Amino acid sequence: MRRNKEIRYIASWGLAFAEEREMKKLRNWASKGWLFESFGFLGFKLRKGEAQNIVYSLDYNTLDANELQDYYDTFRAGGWEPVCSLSNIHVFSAKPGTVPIYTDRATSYEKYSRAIVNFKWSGLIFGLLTLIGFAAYYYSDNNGFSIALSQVFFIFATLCLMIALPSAMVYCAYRFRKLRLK
Amino acid sequence: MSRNNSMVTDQLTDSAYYILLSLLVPRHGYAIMKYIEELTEGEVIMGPATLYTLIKKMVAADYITAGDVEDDRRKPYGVTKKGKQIIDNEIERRSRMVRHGMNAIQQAKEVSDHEKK
Repeated sequence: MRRNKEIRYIASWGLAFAEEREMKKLRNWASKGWLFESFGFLGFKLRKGEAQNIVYSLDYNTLDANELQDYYDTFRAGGWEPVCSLSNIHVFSAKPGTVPIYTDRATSYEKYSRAIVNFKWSGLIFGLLTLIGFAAYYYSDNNGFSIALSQVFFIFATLCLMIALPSAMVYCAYRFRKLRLK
Repeated sequence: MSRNNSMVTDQLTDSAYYILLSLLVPRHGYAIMKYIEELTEGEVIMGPATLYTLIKKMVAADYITAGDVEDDRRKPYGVTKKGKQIIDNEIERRSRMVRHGMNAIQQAKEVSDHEKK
């Protein structure tokens, strides 16, 4: 049990897999007085505050530093207060009943096109490195190279797989979302 | 992929159409949303992410341009010459579509009247 009474960490299923559910979860916590503050390791960091009836919404957008102000201002003008941004992920909150951040399909579809890019490349590159790593491992293992060397290849390939696999899963999750929006 | 270049075809989505209409007079984010709501008597309401996405795209396509940042850093946008051309064409195209619809309804009525006789 956590002793800190001001801050609390909760786990996340992953925004790619359960965006709506995670946003609803944050809303529930906010109604109990635990307000979303920032992203923590594999989850959310909440801070104790006043109980609020607010909803959360998520956007993906890669922005230059000089664009950020204009981006936030546009959301504020629409009634959405910026809560937290991490790289290209931005979370906003608003009173229930506020006009949603996306009001047409075409732009909503583009949101996931922007989200997908990084995962596509990391999945491909690390997937390739995984294959190379395992190939090198089998080659060195069968050709009597030193055990240490083939172990290095094995560890390398495993580490690459640990990045490639989640990337591929996230990529597929976004692809599925885009398919539904088509 | 083609979706990202949808501007190239010069046909505007409904959202892009209304944003361009609102920028015949330079406006910034809040004023754009407000104006679209007023113009359409509440029928069209635009979310900020949709607005921001399309503004960025239309700036890149040179349909609109960001004005000088003067009043407390809020950027007003306005249509360019190209954007004005696009919106004129689009209004024309959409009026033609309405006429086509009316004509089709009229013709269908005539056919069914004819059959009754």
